[in-house]
Amino acid sequence: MTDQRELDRVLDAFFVEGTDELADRVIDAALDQIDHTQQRRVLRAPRRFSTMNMPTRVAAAAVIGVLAVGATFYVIRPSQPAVGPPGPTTGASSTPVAVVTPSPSARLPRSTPSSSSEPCVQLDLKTGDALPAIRGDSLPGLGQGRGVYLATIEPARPHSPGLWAVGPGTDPARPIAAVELSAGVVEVVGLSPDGSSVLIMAGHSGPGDPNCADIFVVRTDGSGATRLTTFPLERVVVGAAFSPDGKRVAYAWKDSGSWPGFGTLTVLDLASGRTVDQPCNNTVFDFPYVVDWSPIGDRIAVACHRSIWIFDPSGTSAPIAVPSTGSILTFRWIDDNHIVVANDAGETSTFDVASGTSSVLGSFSESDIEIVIPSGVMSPDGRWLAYLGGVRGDVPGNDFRIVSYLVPTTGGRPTRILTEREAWSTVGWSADSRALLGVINGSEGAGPTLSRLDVETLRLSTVGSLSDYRQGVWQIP
Amino acid sequence: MDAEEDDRLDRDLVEQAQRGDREAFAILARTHGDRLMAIAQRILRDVGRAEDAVQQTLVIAWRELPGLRDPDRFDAWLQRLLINASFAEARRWKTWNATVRILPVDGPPGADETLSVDDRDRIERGFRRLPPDQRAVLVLTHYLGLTPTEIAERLGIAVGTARSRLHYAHRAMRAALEADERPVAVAGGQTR
Repeated sequence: MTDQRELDRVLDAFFVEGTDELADRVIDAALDQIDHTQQRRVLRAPRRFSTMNMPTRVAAAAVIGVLAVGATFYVIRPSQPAVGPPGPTTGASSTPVAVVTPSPSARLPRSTPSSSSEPCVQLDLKTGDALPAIRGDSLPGLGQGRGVYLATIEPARPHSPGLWAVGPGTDPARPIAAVELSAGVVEVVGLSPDGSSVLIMAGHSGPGDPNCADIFVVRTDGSGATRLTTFPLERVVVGAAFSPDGKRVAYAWKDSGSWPGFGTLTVLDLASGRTVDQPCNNTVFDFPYVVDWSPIGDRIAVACHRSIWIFDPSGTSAPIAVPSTGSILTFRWIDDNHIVVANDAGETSTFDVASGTSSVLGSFSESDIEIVIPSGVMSPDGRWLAYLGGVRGDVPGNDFRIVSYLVPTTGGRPTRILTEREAWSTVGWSADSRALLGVINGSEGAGPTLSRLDVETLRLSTVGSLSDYRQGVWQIP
Repeated sequence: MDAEEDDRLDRDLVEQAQRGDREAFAILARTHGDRLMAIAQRILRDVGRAEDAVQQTLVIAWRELPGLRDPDRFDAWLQRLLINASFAEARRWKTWNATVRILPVDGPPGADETLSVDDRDRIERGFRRLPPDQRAVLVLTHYLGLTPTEIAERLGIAVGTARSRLHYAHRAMRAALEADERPVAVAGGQTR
């Protein structure tokens, strides 16, 4: 048994090591952003207000009143995007997709990232006979839904992840692949609309690690493991999604080598390998890594810098900017011509693509709730918004008890739906927009549960228990 | 220059920055940047993500600075913003490191500060499993040397909450150190 003194010694020693210097480029990038960032206007009665004599107090109140009116006009003024359009030029090139034999062991290319032509991420997906014969979690509440998630797959190596699939006819979950990554992180980023394929992202960015990330696709029966990108050092995929017909993949990536990085949206035709690249300059980090296809797949919405841009997947027409204020909390297509946007000022709006106009939907701003970006998840019908927030003190950052809130996008007082202790991790919405899905960490000794919250009744129910859960994507009717 | 003089200069810079002086803020950013980076890297265990958190913190600090009531509290306020930014960064990649990297050891700084590779590996793994709020109290306690009272004051939480988070974090780290003595969890919720 480790006593407290020994534990303190170990932890003190553990934290001695680490980085103690901030690179100048980080400060330079921050100062560059600050050049385009307005300070928040603060109206506050002077500290000595109560001790002033009456004429002085009246004069001070008048000044504050004038400032308040001015600030109101300032806040409600129409705003322009923070940066210019990414540029209408588009480029198309034919790039072969590296197809890897998946069975019994899909070995994706391994190499040392010594040149720009070699892959930086080295990932093995072991499938078929290479997998142990084990049965995973049963999720009886999933119904006709599906899920693909990362969890331990090899009992002897509890820290090695495996890719699991669960759905109609495959309950309990069964392993798709054992994931072997030389270093770094792996994440499931998307499931094809028919549930047959899954996109995963793998990359690394740590002490001594190269900075890079690639995306891969594998079928949910464990076949067809394919590497979609082979990026060199400093190129990082930040978001990806299947098109509604499942035939194309759009992914946003940035080149970190030119700090703070310039981005690109690439649309890849899975059958031909043909790609279309369009610039999407991501020079800040507080934007949602969301790539959202319109329902019929003729447009893609992506956050580039602090604005949302709507792209033509074919690259034949120029991207369209969605006017917005503040930082983007989240956004979503609700039909083929409209996007709903929520921002960190607690405002929601809808953008009509055909007319190029935005309309205010509502406000969910509350002075005592600090909105955490980019934490928002919007329901498919655009009626509900779930996000993380903390109690605000005098200034943001005075409290970091983060809890989950739910609010209609038409505005109103947000409802606190889960406490800090419940550690909700939102994973999505049901297709009918009636239930919010999330993983709740169990109490001591209990595993996490995939749960659904009925947004009308706020009734919480369990879809199923997960013995070990890292991250995943889910589809529920 | 003594500490009192440093504090006075800092306060002057904060007040100038509150009035929109970007040069003053740039000096503050360069003065406090290394400390912010050290804290963020220890919470996030990743240089790239720590840099993102620090950059975000500096931009938010500039935007919100006029709302800071007491310029003498700038350092503590900045650390609160950083911890929030670190939490946001941790949530952004709700992922898991497939391979735990062991930080290089440049030579033992002293007999009391050495760790075996096994211990470091266990601590690293255990730490990465902690929720961000518990990571933060461990870093504030064992890296900055703050007491629970100071942590509570720094983070704007109750002292009891700070103690509770520290208790759970210590318990988790103790469990990580003793992991080899426990049964291994396997898929399906069974143990062996």
